Amino acid sequence: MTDTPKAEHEAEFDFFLARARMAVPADHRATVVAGWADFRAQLDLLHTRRDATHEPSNIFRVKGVAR
Amino acid sequence: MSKGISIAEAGRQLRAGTTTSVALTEAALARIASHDPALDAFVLLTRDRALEDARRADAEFAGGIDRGPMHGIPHALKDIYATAGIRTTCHSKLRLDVVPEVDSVVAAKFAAGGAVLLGKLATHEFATGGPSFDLPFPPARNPWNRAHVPGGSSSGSAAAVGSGMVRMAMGSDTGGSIRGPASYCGLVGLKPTYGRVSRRGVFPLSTTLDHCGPLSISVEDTAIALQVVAGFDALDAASADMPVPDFLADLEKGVAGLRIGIPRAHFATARAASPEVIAAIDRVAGLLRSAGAIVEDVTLPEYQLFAACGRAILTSEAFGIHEADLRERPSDFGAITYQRLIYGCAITSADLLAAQRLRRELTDAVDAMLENYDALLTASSLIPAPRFETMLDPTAAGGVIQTIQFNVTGHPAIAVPTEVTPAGLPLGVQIAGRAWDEACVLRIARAIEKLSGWEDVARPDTA
Repeated sequence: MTDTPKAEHEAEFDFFLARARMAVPADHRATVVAGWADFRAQLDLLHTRRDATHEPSNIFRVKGVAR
Repeated sequence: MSKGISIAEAGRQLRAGTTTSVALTEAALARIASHDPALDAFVLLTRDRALEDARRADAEFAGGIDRGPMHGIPHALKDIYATAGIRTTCHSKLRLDVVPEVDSVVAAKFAAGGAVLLGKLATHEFATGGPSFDLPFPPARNPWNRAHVPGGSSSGSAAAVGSGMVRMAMGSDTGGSIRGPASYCGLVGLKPTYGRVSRRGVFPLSTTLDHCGPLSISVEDTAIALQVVAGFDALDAASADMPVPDFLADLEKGVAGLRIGIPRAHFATARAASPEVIAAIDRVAGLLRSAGAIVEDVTLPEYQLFAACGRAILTSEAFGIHEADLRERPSDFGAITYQRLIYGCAITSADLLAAQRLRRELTDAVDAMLENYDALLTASSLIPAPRFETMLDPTAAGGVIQTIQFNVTGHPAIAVPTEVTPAGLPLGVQIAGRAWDEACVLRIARAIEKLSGWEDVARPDTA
């Protein structure tokens, strides 16, 4: 994500905003756009584990602390 | 200042007739009057209600009625706990006129137990957005140095307890909002096991990560508060019908023979970790070894996975709660709150599914580790409390506490203070344990409290 041009980040976030039928108030926009790349990188991290250990049928089951 | 008398000692004096609840309450109100103007811990003081509660408690003691360990003891609640007839704002412009008709379960349990409610405490907006100066109330300040943040989101709870205005206050913890402020303010802060304490009536941030718990001066006070609020609630979907043990029974048993793992890579390789925090953890490890515990480094999945998993789930669930207001009243949120919530619009079903799969994997990894170890010793905050100006840039505010791993997995975790830096700010560690074994977590925390000499550390007297 760090190599993605800033304009692409901004365009991507604007796509998600439009899909949600939302508009960022002008006084919040700079802050929101500035933090988006960091958030996007964390989402990307969720999709990096794809070996057999992480196959969905090995992960979903009724067991745990309280769920 | 002295640390004051413990909840247990105050209870003994109330029952012996050597003090009264009115006297305890008037002393607390006087300290609030002298200290809160500099610390902004309270957003609402319930003075009349407190004195009424106190007079009732004294009358009940005189009549031989004993409602339990918090009977007649002053306490306060983070302003996301619904309180019947008392404004509950979530520190937000969006809820300035909200007066609940019904108590949250926790508020009701304290009321039924005869505790004295002093008031409602500052929070980061909706338990996420802060510290911030663009909200209806000022941010709470750190009683050790008011130029520094008290942590959040249970900021007012930490400031009130840390300054001695109240011995125990309730906070909430979705990613570390009890343990972070406890670390910054030299307090004990407990996030119980997910499902141990009902969240019904507490404004949610993220329903599968939210926990209710106390911040207090000592481990014993913490155990007493947990005893009062723990228990099954059929109307909280996450509440678990598990036995509630006596959390005080094992407090003084020490740590001899216990096995404690240190997931060192989590904090030692973190870019933000200060050497003094790492050294403090090593000192605690040494103290625990000297007291007979077996303490070893262990390896868990990398911390960034816990953080990414927790943030995706938190942001998604919080967005679901606030979606309508984000669309219709966006300018009524503070800037930090808005930024943290709006990213939820970009989380896809695939993102959330990946986070849920990862959550199971990470929970299994911690469970597996705790088959061989009784508890884990790690950092809570990676640095002492930062100054306000370093926190006001919302793009730079993250990454300095390491607490969300146990919100993701649901395991009980406690922040314990251990020492004060040369700059005069407290440091501490975090202990996490097996699900439903808060008793062991409290037992180790109590040992650390004694071994570290924290009980002899003078607390801040002025703000």
